[in-house]
Amino acid sequence: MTEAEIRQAVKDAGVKLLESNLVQGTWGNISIRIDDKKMVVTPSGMDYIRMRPEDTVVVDIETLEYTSEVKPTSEKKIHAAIYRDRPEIGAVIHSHPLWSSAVAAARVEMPVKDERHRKLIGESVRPGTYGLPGTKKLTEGAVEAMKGRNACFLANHGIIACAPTIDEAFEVCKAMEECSKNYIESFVKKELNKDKVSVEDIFTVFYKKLN
Amino acid sequence: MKEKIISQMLDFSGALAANGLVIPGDTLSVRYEDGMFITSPDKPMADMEAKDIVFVRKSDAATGNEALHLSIYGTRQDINAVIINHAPFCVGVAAKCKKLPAALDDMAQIIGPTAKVSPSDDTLTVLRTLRGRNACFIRNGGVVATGRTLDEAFTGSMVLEKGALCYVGSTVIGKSVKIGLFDALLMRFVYKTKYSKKDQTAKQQELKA
Repeated sequence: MTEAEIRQAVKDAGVKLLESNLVQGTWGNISIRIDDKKMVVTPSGMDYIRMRPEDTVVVDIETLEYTSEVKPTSEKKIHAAIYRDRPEIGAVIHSHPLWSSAVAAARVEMPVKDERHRKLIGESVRPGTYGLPGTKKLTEGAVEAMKGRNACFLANHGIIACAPTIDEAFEVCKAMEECSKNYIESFVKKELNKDKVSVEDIFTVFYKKLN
Repeated sequence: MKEKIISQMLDFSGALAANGLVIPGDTLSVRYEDGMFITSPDKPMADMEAKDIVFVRKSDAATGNEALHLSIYGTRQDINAVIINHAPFCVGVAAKCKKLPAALDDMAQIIGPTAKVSPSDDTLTVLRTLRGRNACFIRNGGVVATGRTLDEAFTGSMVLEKGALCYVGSTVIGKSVKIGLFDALLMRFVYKTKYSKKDQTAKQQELKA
């Protein structure tokens, strides 16, 4: 892919994330590796509909330097750290999907039971160490939690998904969402001894836990 | 500008309906000159048309939902759009909790460290509950989400519903770990003064162009 094609692919992936409700507004960020030294990342604080391919930013994976006037995402450190640590990875997505964000807020390791999901994600999903956005603590925690997997939770901050291509990384995001929903529902099924659960069932267990 | 505002209101009415955040009677409004444009509470959001959007002056004798919208614009100069919705997880949390703590960074940023629950739909009580935040709940009365633009109020509605789902879901599987107050306030400060400023200013200017 040429640099222009990669920029377009980043823009398209952003719109797809927004339309799939895997992010809201300007949150979340995306990158695609150009080569061993450079990646294209989304800009900071610009929504994916307004964003033009030329607003994406080419960033040096080693030094995090960039030449464009547009500021790259503040999470560029996580993207670069994953590319440095994992040569096979070609695309990284940080998103804030509904159910995955709920598991991320509990800061627990989630088992991945479905074989389909295991192929995409790995045997479990670990939470990275809590840290403020853009910090070294958050970056190092994410890289560590990602070892041997294609996804991790960022404590109180959504998920990171990665794969050799952007299309596969998007599939990892979707698998994470399905898996997280199933995981939460499994607690409700066990508690209420039911095979299927509704939103009302989830609230029944929630209210019980509040008391 | 009027046409752009109305067109945007129709787009977001459809988006609220498509995302399952509204029930009949819910409304959205945008500040304009000495009043606001507001959608009809008698029309479902999914079917809203330009003729269902009316202009209400702040001097008009408004009641119910309209009065709440106008009171928010009267007391909060930072707010230019208001959405009243009934997002299902928000309504479920508001029924039993006094507040929703931010368990996600995006909620801390766009809404605040917590979204509080107003014990009644009395306008003054709701305004007090909304103080310092971009949204609040009304017990047995839905959600009030606000923003500098309609886009921000819509994103706030989506983020608040996700925040409510996260609180419920994480509590069900163990424990919801909320973001510390200092970090939440810091995130909100950075969001308001840096992160979102350029995007929101551009969106406000687009409406005026």
